[in-house]
Amino acid sequence: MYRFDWDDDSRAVAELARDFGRSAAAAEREAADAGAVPETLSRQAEELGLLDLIRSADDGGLGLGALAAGHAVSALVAEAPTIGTSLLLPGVGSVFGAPRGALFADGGAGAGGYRRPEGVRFSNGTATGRIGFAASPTSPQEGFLVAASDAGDRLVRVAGAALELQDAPSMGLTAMRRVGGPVDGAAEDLQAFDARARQALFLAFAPFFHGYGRAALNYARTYAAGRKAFGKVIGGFQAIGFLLADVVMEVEAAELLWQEAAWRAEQGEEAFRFAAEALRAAKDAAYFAANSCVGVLGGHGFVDDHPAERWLRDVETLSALTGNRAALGQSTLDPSHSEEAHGVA
Amino acid sequence: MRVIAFVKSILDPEAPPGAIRFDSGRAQGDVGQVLGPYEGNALELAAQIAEGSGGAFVAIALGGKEQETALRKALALGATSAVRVEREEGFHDPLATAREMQAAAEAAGGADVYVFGRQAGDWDQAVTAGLFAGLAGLPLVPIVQGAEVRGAALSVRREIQGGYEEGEISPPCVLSASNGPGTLLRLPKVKDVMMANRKPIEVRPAISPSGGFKVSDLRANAASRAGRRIEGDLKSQAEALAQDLRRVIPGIGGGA
Amino acid sequence: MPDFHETDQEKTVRAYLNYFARSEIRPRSLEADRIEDIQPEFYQAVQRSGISMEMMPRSPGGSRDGAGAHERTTLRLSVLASEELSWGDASFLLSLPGPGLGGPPVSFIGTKEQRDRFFAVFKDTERPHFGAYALTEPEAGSDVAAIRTSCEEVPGGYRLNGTKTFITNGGRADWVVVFATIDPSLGRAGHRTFVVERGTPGFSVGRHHKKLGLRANDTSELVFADCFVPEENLLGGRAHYEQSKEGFKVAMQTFDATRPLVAAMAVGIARAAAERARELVEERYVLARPLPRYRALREALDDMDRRVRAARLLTWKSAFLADVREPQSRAASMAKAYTGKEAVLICREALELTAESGEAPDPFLEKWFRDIRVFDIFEGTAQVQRLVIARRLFEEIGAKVGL
Repeated sequence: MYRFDWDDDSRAVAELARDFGRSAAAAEREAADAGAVPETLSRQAEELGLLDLIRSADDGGLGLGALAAGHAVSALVAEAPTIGTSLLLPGVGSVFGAPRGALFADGGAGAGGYRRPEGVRFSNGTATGRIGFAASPTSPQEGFLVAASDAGDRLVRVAGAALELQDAPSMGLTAMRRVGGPVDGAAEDLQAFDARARQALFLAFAPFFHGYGRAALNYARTYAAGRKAFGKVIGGFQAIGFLLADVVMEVEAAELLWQEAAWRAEQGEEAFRFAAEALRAAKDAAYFAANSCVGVLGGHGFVDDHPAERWLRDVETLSALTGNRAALGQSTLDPSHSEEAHGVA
Repeated sequence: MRVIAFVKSILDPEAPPGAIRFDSGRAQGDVGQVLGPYEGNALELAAQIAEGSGGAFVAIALGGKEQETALRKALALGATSAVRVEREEGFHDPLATAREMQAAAEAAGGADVYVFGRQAGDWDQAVTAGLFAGLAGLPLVPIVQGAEVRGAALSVRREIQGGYEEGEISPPCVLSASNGPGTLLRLPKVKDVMMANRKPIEVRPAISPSGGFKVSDLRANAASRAGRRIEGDLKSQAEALAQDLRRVIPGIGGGA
Repeated sequence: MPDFHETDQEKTVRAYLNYFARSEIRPRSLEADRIEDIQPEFYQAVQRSGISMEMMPRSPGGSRDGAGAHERTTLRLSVLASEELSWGDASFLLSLPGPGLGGPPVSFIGTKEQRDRFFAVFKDTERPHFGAYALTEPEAGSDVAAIRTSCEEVPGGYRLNGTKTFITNGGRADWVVVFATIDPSLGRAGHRTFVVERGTPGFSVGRHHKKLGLRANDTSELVFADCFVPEENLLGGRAHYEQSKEGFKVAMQTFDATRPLVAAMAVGIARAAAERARELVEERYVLARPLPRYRALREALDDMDRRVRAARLLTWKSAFLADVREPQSRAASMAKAYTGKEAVLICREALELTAESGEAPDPFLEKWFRDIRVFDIFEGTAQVQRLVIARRLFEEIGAKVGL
C-alpha cells in the first residue's frame, strides 16, 4: 500500500542536513560573489559526513539508500541552495565510487543513441576528447568520466594529468567551480555506463532541483506575507495566492515522481524511464518555482538585493550540468528505437 | 570527569502562535518537539567537558515519549547513555523536579559535573539547577558560556556587563549553561545521527516526590479590542498622538 | 519510508474492478452517453457482483462511534476503486446505488436514529436506491454562504422554499440532503441541513440538465415549494446547531475525504484517454521508425503517462494522510486542483494526437474529453481549491494575509 512518510534515520539525517543548510544560509551571497564556498563550511560539511550522503556502503558510505540520501540533499539545498549545490554536486560521482576530490563528468553519448558531436571517447586504454561542461571540486585529483566506446558508454578513470581543465563561465552556480576542456591520457575501464548507471545519476540529480523549488516557494511565500500594495499584503490577492498554489503543486508532484522512481530503483527494478521523467519534472518544477519567485518579488526579484534572481540563474545552470531536455527526452525512449538500431545516421 | 546533562524537549517555539492551544492546564498543538535552546548549550558543554577529560556523559530527561527528541540529540552528540524518567508532560513544581533529577542521577551512578540549561525554554523559571545543587550540597556556577578542562578542575567563563569573568571550580559541581560562542551546539555527524536511532533509551519510573505548586489553569489573553483610531492628516495625527501620550505617560512633554 | 507497492488485496480489488469495468461498463458506455441514462441491465450486473458505494467511506475522518486509532486503509482502497471504475466510465460510477454524497452528512451530523432510518433503504439490493446532496443553487455555487433556499420554522417541523441545481442523482434519489437557511443575513451560521424524502408534498424534480459530459448520470434541478419537512428530518436535531461552529467544521471535513475520491476519478479518465491514445497511435504508426515526427509522438505519449502518474501520486498522498489521520486539507485540495487541470489537458492532448483529417474522431476519446471538463468545476472549482491551498500555505508560516 502506498506510503509517504519517512523512517527515523531519514528524518534525522534530513534534519541534520537542514540544520547545516540553515547555518550556511548567511554565507550564500558572499559565496556566490567570491566564487567559492567558505573553507570553514566545506570542512564542516566533510566532517559531518554530508559530502558522502549518496556514497554506497561498500564504498565507505553510510548505506542510506537513494531515497533517504536524496531527501537529505534536497533538505540541505532548500535552506542554502547555492552553497548546498556547490558542496554536493561535484561529489555526485560518489554514487559510482568516485573518491572525494575526483571530477565526475559526463562526456558520453547518452543512452538511447543520442550522439553528442564532441565528447570523450575511450578506446585501447585511452580516453580522448573533450569535457563540455562539468561541476568540479576545486582541484580535482583524478577524473571519473563517462566516455563513448565501441562497446557503448563506459565509466573510465583518468589521472589528473590527463585533464586540461579550464574554468567554464556560466550565469549561475558561481560559488562552484565549473570546468570544461580537453581530455587525453591513459584510462582505466571501470564499468559499463548503461541504463542502470544513468538511472542512478538522474536520481542523484533530481533532489537538487527539489531543493531550489522549495527554497523559491518559501521565499516567495514569506515575501508575499509581508509586502504591502493596494492596501494589503500581496499574499491576499488571488493572483499571488493562486500562483503559489500552482507552484507548490508542481514542486510536490515532482518530488513524488522522484520518490517513486527512487523507490523502484531501491527495489532493484529497471527504473530508467521513471528516473528520467522524474528528473525532467524536477527541472520544470524548479524553473517554475524560481521564475514565479522572481515574479512575486516584482522589481525586487530582478535585482540582486534578494536571492531570487540568483536562484533563477542557478536553476538553469544546474539544468545544463545535468543533461539537457533533448538528452532526457531521448533517454526515455527504448534504446532499441535508436538511430543506430535502425541504421539511420 | 563523569558528566550528567539534564535535557528537555519542548514544543517548537518557532511554530506559529495559532498552532498552540491551552487545554486543561497544558499547552498543546500539532507542533513538533525540539531540544530546548539552553539545554542545547548544556549538551555542548557536557560534550566538551567529557571530551576534554576523556570521560563519559549521560543524558537524562524527565517526561513522556516526547522527550526522546532531546535524548536522541544527546546520543548523536556522544552521550554514552540516555535515560528517560517517565513523568507526565506539563508543568511540575521545580523542587519536585529537582528531587526527581537527584534520584535519577543517583541511579545513573552520579557524576563529577552536572550540567543544566540555565532555564527551560517553555516554563522559563531558571531555578531547577539551583535547587538541585542545594539538594546535592554542591557548588553551582550559573550562566556558564564556556568551559575548559584544566587538569582536575574546570575553568569556566561567563559574560558580565562590559566583559567576561573567568573562574575555576573543582568537581563535583553543578553548571547551568547559557548561550554564547563557547556553548554553540555543534551539529552531529551523519553516522552518529544514524547510530543514535539504534541506541536504547533506558526508561525509569518516577519517584513522584510531592511539590508545592500546581498549575490550575492556563489560558491565553483574550484579544483586546480597546484602542482608539487617530484620524486626520499626518500633522493632526501627530498632534493628537502627542496629546494622548502626555495624558497617558506622566512626566513627558513640556519643554525640550 | 515512501512505499509504492500494491498489496495482494489491492491487486485483487483492482483486477476485479477492471474486469467489471471492461465487461459491464465499457460495452454500455457509448450507448448510455447517447441515451443519457444507465441501462437497467447494468444494475443487475451490480447486484450480481456485489459492488457498491459501500466502498466509499461514509465517515472520512473516523466514525463518530469512535473507530480504532490504528491506521486505516479505507481511503487508499476507495481511491483505487474510484480510479478503476471511473476508467470504465465515470457516469456509471456516479450512478452506482448508494447514498452518494449524501452519505457523509448523514454519517457525520445525523443522530443514530437518523443514520439507521436513512441508511436502511440501501439494504434492499433488489432495486437500486440512491441518496443525493443538494447544496448548489442557480445563484450560489462556490459562494456557499449565499444560498437562498429558506427553511421556516412551523409547528412540527420546517417549511422549505427554493430551488437546487446540478444535483447528482437528484431525479431518482430516495432522499436528498438539503441545505437551507433560516436567515440569509446570518451566512453560514444560518444554514440548516435536512433530509427530504422523495414523494414529500412540495418537493419535485425540475428539469434534467443537458450536459457536456457525464451525460448518462442524472443531474437534476430540485424544486421546493412550501415543502413541509418534519422535525425528525433536521439532521442532528436542534442540539447540533446550538454548537454550530462544530457542525460547519465537520461538514468541511467531509470534503477532505471526497476530494481525493473525485481526484481519483479524474485520474481514471485521464488514464483511459492516455491508454487509448497510445493504442491508436501505435496502431497507425510504426513507432519504431526513428523519424523525428514519430519521436515527437512517442514523447507526447510518454509525457501523458508521466502526468497521469504524477496526478495519481498526489491523489494517493492525500488519501494516505487521511488514513494515518494527519491534517490533509491542503493535500486534498492539491490532489483535486492538480488532477482537475492535468486530466483536462491530457484528454485534449489525447484527442489532438489521434485526430486525423478525413477520419471521424474516436468516440471514446471524444466522450472522455467531454466528461473530464467538470472535474475542475464540481466539488470545489479550480479557483476554490487554489484558495484553500494558498490559505494553508500562509497559515503554515503563521501569516494572516486576508485571502
